[in-house]
Amino acid sequence: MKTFSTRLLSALGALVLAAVLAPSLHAVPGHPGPAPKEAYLVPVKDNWEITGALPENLMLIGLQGLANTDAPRVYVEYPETWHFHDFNPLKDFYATRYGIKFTRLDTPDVALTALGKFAKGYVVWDRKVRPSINVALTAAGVLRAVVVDESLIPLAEKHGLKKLADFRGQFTGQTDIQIYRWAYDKYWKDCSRDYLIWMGGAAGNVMEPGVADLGIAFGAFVTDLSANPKDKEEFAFHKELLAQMKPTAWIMGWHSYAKDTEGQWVTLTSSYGLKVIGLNTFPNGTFMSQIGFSPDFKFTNSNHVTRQSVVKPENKVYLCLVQSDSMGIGAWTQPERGQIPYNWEVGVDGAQWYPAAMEMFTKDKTPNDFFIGGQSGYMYPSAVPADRFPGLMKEMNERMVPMDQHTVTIMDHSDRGIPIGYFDLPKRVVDQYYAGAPDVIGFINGYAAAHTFDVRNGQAFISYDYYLDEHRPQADVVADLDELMRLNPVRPYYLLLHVRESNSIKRVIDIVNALPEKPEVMPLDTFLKLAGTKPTFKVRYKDERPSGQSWDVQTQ
Amino acid sequence: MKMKSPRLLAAGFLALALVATAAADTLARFNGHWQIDLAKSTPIRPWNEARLDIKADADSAQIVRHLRWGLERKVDDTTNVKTDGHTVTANPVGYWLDTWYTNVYIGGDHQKQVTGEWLDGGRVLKVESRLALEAQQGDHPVHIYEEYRLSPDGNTLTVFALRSTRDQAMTYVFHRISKFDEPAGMVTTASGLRYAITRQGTGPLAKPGQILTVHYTGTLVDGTQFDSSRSRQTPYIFTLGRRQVIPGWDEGFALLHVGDQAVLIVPPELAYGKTARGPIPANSPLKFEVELLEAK
Repeated sequence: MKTFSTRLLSALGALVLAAVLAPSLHAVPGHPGPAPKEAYLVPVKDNWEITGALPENLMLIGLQGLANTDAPRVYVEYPETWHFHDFNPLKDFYATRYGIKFTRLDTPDVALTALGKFAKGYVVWDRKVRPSINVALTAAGVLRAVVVDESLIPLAEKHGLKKLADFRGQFTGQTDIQIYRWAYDKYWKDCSRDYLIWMGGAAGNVMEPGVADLGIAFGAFVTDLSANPKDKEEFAFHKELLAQMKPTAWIMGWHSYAKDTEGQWVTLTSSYGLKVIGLNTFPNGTFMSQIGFSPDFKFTNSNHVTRQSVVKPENKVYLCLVQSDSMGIGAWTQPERGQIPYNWEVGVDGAQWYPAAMEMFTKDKTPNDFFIGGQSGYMYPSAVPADRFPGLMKEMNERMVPMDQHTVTIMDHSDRGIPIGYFDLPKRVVDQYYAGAPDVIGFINGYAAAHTFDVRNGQAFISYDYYLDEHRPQADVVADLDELMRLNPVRPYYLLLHVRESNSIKRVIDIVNALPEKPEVMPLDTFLKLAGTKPTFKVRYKDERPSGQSWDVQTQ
Repeated sequence: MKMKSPRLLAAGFLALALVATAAADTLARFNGHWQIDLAKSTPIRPWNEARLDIKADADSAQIVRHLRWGLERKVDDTTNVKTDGHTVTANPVGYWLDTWYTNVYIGGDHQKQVTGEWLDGGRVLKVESRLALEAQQGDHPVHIYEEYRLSPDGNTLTVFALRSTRDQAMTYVFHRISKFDEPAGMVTTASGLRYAITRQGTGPLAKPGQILTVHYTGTLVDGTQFDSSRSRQTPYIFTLGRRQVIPGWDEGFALLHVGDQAVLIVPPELAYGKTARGPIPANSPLKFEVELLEAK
């Protein structure tokens, strides 16, 4: 247990450090620059209940947003159980690789001592009305305030902060639409048109506001309006907000699991040509996005071929393993990495929003590790208006350059109401990719297996032939893959396999070794080049999928 | 040639009739609703629930497969088959339902040709299907052989399936349904009440002493709907925790937030117990689909 004198020393130290950090203004979130020499470390508790530690945690994350608005000053230390747990070693990486010296602000009191000067006052949310938190976060961004509940008012006032807004009792008995409409009327005119925050995810007594710092730093409107058409009023208001955003805007956060589905939410966002950066739990966005790669680091890929290369396919099964979920929830750090060609899906936005994490993960890549990219964030191309597509493709091409990426991955979930085959793409979308990305080596599509295939000018457009579920027994997986090889008897056969979530590399190697017909495992760029050179697949699009009229299909 | 006596003929006909009756009884035991036992079956993911409805007689069978995936997706797949071992029955098929793991779709003319036959005195139903599957490289003919085997007690149905394109046999075990159709995620409380929240509301948790306004639909295990406030278009109002309603409701609604929709499966001891009440027989478990509209 800390003594009073220890806390006092800590607070004084924080004050001194604040004075050192104050003049070093050089960046804003989303614009990476050089790393600071020093920064604060603010721990939050492992409890996200409104009636638990959320008020304190929320105040600290909000304070981070205020302090980091124009420079990376504060890094929040999330508990080990936080959703982005693969980012946990990042703090140490900043310290060792970038040389950042962290000063720990152990308590909210100490944190306010050091960082209270970045706030002009405080706003109070109502513990009995959950949406009042989102209104308070919106107000905090606009008014430059810390967010507190009733219990934290004395602490805020102790640090000289004045009350700027108080939502206690104001929204009692009101619906979400009434509350958010009030917030809109009051604050929207002063809110960002570049960023919207969807503070969804968990519902009820729990909120996990990892992205709140970005919302406050950007002065973004914060909400969790429904994307479910059945919620007519919220749906209409939701669309009203999206329609007013700039074409290049980002939607950051995640939908509310209590109101709608991921498919409904991303489809609606995509229908306005907007991109989503997930999730609501995304941590330290204001810190990570202001610090670029370290000076002596250059992000490079293990490229094997170019668009112009000539390859000679053989009569065999070519197997290509794509690991999504960034670095595969731990797969990257497994000792088997490098033993077989593996393709890692890394977002093209990494260089903008979390360069150091990219550097931490990829600095020790092997020749068998290949990085593949795609459009920004969550975006379903089928839902994107045609006139917005070229701009998005231009942006994608530009973002692939610093990532040294030359292949494109696509995932479209906009038609998930049907039971099977909803990852397929209509021809018009395939046409748009060919028109928008003529210089990439090729495209891959899907999540679950899909059957959209094409080839033009040597560029193959291939869907996943197999989805490797981490829970599916190995014997069933081997039987599945063997059956695919028999259903596709012509060689070469191009078998694109989606490795999901926590599948270990060892499990994948064991599966490959157990196959009766031995495939050659390929990196994606070579795989696509081979397929583009000698296609054996049938060209298909979603439009040719059977309508399934005989099925009783229910959508939510 | 000597004529058989009328008595012998009669006995022969009687014996045949008895055999036919026995066979018919055996076939009839296939009839009913069957729920998959996921732990004993070949994985069916992404589907997390599978049910069979079977109607069978000496000449034909209808097998309806219900697959469900969360709250969002469900499909029903019907196969009609003559069971004389010869007749080919064409059945339309839209989707290849057995997996989402592989890029395999229904191909060809989107029909499957099916023949059926009763084996082993009616204890086994054999179904053979021929269809075209469409994979990456195009259509491929596939022959599927299935046996539906009934356990001696008539309560377990095991389906063995072989595909010409697959070396691994598949086994699906079903148990006869004699309980409610329940949503995924049912929770059992200490009292034996079972519940699942099917749509979360955003309001506060209901508290004892509050006046609740609710909608409900109640059904018996055989699917009979015995009451519904929705049908009356009039919500039901009661005070929570004051024994104004059956104990299963006092407990169940105390678990809900305003706006929640839920399913409550109430055992007889938390409902009307040994007492018959109107259309509700004695010792009846009850299923309620409820919605908590308001709590004051």
